[in-house]
Amino acid sequence: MSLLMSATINEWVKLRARKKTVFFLALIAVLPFLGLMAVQRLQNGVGIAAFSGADYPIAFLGGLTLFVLPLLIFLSASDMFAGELGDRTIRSVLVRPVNRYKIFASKLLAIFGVTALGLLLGWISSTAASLFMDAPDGRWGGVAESALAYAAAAVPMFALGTVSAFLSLGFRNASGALAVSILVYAAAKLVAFAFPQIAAFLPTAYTDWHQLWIGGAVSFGKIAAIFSFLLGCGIVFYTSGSYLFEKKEV
Amino acid sequence: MNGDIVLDIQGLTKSYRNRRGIENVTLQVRRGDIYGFFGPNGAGKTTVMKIASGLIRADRGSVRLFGYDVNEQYEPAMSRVGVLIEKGEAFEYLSGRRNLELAARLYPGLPKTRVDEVLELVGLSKHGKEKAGHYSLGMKMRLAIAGALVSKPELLILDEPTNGLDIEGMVEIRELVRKLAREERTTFFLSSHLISEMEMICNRIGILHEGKLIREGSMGELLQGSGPSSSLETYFIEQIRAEREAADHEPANVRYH
Repeated sequence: MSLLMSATINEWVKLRARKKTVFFLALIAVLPFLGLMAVQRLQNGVGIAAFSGADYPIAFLGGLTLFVLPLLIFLSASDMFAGELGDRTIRSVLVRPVNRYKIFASKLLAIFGVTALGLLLGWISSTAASLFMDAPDGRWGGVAESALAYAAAAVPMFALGTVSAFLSLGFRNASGALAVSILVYAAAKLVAFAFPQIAAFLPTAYTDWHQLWIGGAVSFGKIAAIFSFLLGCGIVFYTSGSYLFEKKEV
Repeated sequence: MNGDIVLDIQGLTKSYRNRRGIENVTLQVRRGDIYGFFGPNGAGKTTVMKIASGLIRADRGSVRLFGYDVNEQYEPAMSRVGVLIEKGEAFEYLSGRRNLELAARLYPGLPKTRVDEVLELVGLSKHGKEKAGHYSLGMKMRLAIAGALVSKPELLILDEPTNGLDIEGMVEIRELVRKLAREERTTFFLSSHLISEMEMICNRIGILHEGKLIREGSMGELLQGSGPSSSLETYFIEQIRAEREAADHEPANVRYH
């Protein structure tokens, strides 16, 4: 087993042992059913069907990638970088015979892992919840489409993970890093809302790019352009973060 | 013989913004040595040890561990080294055992029984399943020492390993150092500001004062000619006084504290 793999397992073990991670993953599993109750109440009260069963997982994905997953990513990155630098537990990792670039990579891989798990749980849970809803246009075509959308949604979330890791390295306490990550994310969303012409240059503007993967007409040109942009952002923030991590004195 | 040198520190200089730091520290630790790095608080011992274990970089100078440069060849340099710097913080939300398992996973080929062995060695067998956050200060220090020992290192770099321990704990650590040096030929590079502790276990001593290594040698060499009743403590006081007198006669210069 390579050292990178071992280091990644270690980071995963630490992430999984944190109550915050467990709480967020449980929340992702439960939220679709809470949403379902709200939708049914609305439907019974007003008599309007807000979603069909086939649309529900995609609608849930919108909220998941806008709020819940970014928050989980910011929390994880803040704890794994700023938190460990602040309480100096990072020393117990850095004095092992593993190069720092591998440690940095292992932490990001663990964050990607928890993000992917969050998406998988969200998809399973929202699909299960959607079985309790009417699906006038058929259900199973929607399941395949939503699986594709959930898989695609991982790309902007991973890019967000690299940004968050980079930001966290500027702090020595997890709460400061978390607060700044949230503020930067909220500011980027607001800027994109107020100045749509700038939005194209912000990685945060593509948290809903899974929308491009669904529906009849999929624009591969647009998908390729956004993918390249997100990949570029990921590479820039990953290499910058890795460089900063390499130079950190602890 | 060069092959016997496990830690080779050459001309290390590091200055911090507050003008503390170390200046031109050169020393060598040979296989089988229990090298005591002695100096008052703030002398720069931890800085040297952090540089030696790759946690910070020197402004000038080099560190070679088993012949490998710690900055350029980090993995082979650290593969036979165990490190404890200051309190050796543990992940408090994990059990003591889990903390050690994380460390052990990074040494391919380590037997699975090793975690139990080191827990036993530091007297934490009964508390392995407890969260490290619930440990007392002394237990945390034992866990940190277990973390440094888990890879069966040939060289142990221990920065103030008895900090936070009660007298019984200090004696146990002292005996552990002697035992490992005797039975496994483990080499030690350890720091302390407790001179009696150094005198009891070390065969070589380096004295650091205000960032400079002012004396280095075997215990016999250092105390030679100091009279039958002399101790490392009196030797140290004499050396510090001599250094201060010499500094008072030097022209004003950049000082390393």
